[in-house]
Amino acid sequence: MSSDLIMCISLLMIVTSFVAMEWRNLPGAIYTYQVQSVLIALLLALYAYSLSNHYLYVWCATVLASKGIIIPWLLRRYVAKVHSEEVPPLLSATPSALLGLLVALLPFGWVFAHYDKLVISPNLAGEPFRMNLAVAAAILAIGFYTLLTRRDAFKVVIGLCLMENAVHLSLVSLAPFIPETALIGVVTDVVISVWMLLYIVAGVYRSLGSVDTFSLAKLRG
Amino acid sequence: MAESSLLIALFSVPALAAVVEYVLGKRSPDSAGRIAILGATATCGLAIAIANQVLHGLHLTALGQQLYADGLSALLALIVSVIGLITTIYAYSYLRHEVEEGRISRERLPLYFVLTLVFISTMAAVTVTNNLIMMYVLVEATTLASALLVTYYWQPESLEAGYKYLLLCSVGIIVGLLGCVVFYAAAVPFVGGSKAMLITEVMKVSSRFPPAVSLIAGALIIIGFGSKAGLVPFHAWLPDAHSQSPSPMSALLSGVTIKVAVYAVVRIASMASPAHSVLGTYCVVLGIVTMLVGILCAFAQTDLKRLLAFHSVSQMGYIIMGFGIGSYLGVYGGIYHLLNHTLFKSLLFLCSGALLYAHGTTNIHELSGKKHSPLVAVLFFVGALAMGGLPPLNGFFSKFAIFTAAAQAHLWWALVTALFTSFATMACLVKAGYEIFLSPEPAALSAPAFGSTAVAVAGRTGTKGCPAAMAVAMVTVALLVFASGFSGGVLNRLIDMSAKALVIR
Repeated sequence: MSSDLIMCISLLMIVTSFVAMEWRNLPGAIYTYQVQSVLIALLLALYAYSLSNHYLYVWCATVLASKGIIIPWLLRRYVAKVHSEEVPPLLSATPSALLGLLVALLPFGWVFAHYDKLVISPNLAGEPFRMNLAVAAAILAIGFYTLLTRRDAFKVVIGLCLMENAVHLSLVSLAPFIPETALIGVVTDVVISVWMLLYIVAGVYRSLGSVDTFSLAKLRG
Repeated sequence: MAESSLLIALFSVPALAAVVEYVLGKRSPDSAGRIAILGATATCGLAIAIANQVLHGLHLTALGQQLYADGLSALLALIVSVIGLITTIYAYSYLRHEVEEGRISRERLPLYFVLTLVFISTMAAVTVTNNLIMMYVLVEATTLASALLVTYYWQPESLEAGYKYLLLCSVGIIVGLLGCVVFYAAAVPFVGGSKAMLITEVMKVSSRFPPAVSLIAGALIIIGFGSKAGLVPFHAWLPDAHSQSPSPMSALLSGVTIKVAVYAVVRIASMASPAHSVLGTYCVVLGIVTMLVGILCAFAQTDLKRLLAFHSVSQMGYIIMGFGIGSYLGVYGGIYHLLNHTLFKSLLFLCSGALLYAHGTTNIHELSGKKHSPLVAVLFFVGALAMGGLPPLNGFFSKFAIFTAAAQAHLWWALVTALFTSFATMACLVKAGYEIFLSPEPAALSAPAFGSTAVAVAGRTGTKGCPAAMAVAMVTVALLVFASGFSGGVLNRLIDMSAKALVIR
């Protein structure tokens, strides 16, 4: 059965979130994000196969196209115009990673323990859905934590992308039979929002010569 | 229930107009805005037609129940289209002046109108969608359509505002999406996969959801979509975005967009009926905190547009508090205040635009002692007093309804805070209005104080007055402020219908 593989990929996804958050080299972080997106697509394909749910194949393709190809490409294009080394974050790597671990573990544990109360549909009970939702909660928390503690605007955007990945992942447990039209709408929104954020960040860089979000607030004087 | 293609037309007409505007704008930037006004007028007509049918007791649906309109949808559609039209007419003159002043290039003019039409179209679609996931898609689409309008001047400050706006709203709305999905997942066992997406269907079975699910999903919705409505703690984007965008866009953002977000909150969170008392209390507390944070920050502002934006945060507190109380009167007051805030806040932002037009600044100290158009002064005070809650104006009635509801629910702490905020709002706005319009000019300090100021105001026409289109737009909104306060009539029946639909299910 593929459930071992699913577990393995789920855990890898948490690892990639941490790497994407902590890797100061921006192209490296983007690469890690891309790996995570491909892993999600792979996971969706595995679910589709083991549950024989053909919806999930369509889903897998949209994730691969949007998050595996388009968003990393956009990120790379805009980062190349600016710099490759992140503006140093608030905390140095070790305390940040430790705090991040705590931030990720709490929602993970909570969802893992209360899964039965959250998802009442009988055919979504138990594994692998429980693990999946818990992992999604952990990645959501890591993304939010990235968003709050990083100074580099590009890293903040990567944090947003991690959160979006988490929500996408959670749909597997919560809504595996979601219609394609809704899904395409969601994915389109995500791609456009990331693109527009990058466009505005590039504008900020051109007028200020920096993408440090903390210096933005100072500008107001 | 009645099939009606009006609902499809409501958002496709402005979308089509956007395409035409884009094509024509490429060819000749000077014609920019004409198609937009036409498109917005047509949208207005459609909204009125929808409201008319709803008032006859019909619930409209379209596209196999994917679209749905009841009293609340009709009211919001009216708000979106009427204020959309008025701000577009205003912008037609206002932005041409900006071009003359050299703040924007002529080629950027059509962009504003194209994006406004897209913006109106997405907001109109939010008001009639009946699909849980599409609600997320469309609310996010309103953010995307308006982000480039916030950064329209492409200055460092407006870029910062746009960055914050896009980031905070996107993050918030993703959380909202999670809430929508939790509701969807909870509804699947009861109504089946295809119907669980429809808000009206989920509503029917929502009382059977486990309380934990309702609570979590409701909280996610309130936090998520609430960030777009400017509720604390994710309100930080609002003052920046509303003050940095061009003035007609500030009026549209502050008057309409945050209301559309509240609409999304109310529509979806009202499914969480089993957990209502907890969520209701949460909303009341959230409302109180929001109104206090808003009013305290407002006092510290020296820029008129930022001051008004913080008042928007504060007034959103009243609306969410009204819904949180949950009784008929509370919900009625919430919806009524939502309508009233739309009107007087649009009016105030349009007035601030007229000041910017005449003097090139919105700084209160710099405006003080300059010659102002008497029309703008009068209209500003109409808006300010309405927001402060002076009796015969509309703000008084809606706030009074919320206060009474709070008293009936024995929420004395909430009542006292809300009353305090109301007086503080009045003080803050009257102070700003006095400094700008009535404080004697440095040269005329020796003149006797009050009687002469009226003469002085009337005599201050030396500076450029505002063009007819802007004046007409402002006067129309002011008349609507009076109308919504004095006449019960049509609006009252729409509010009554929406409040009943939300309370009695």
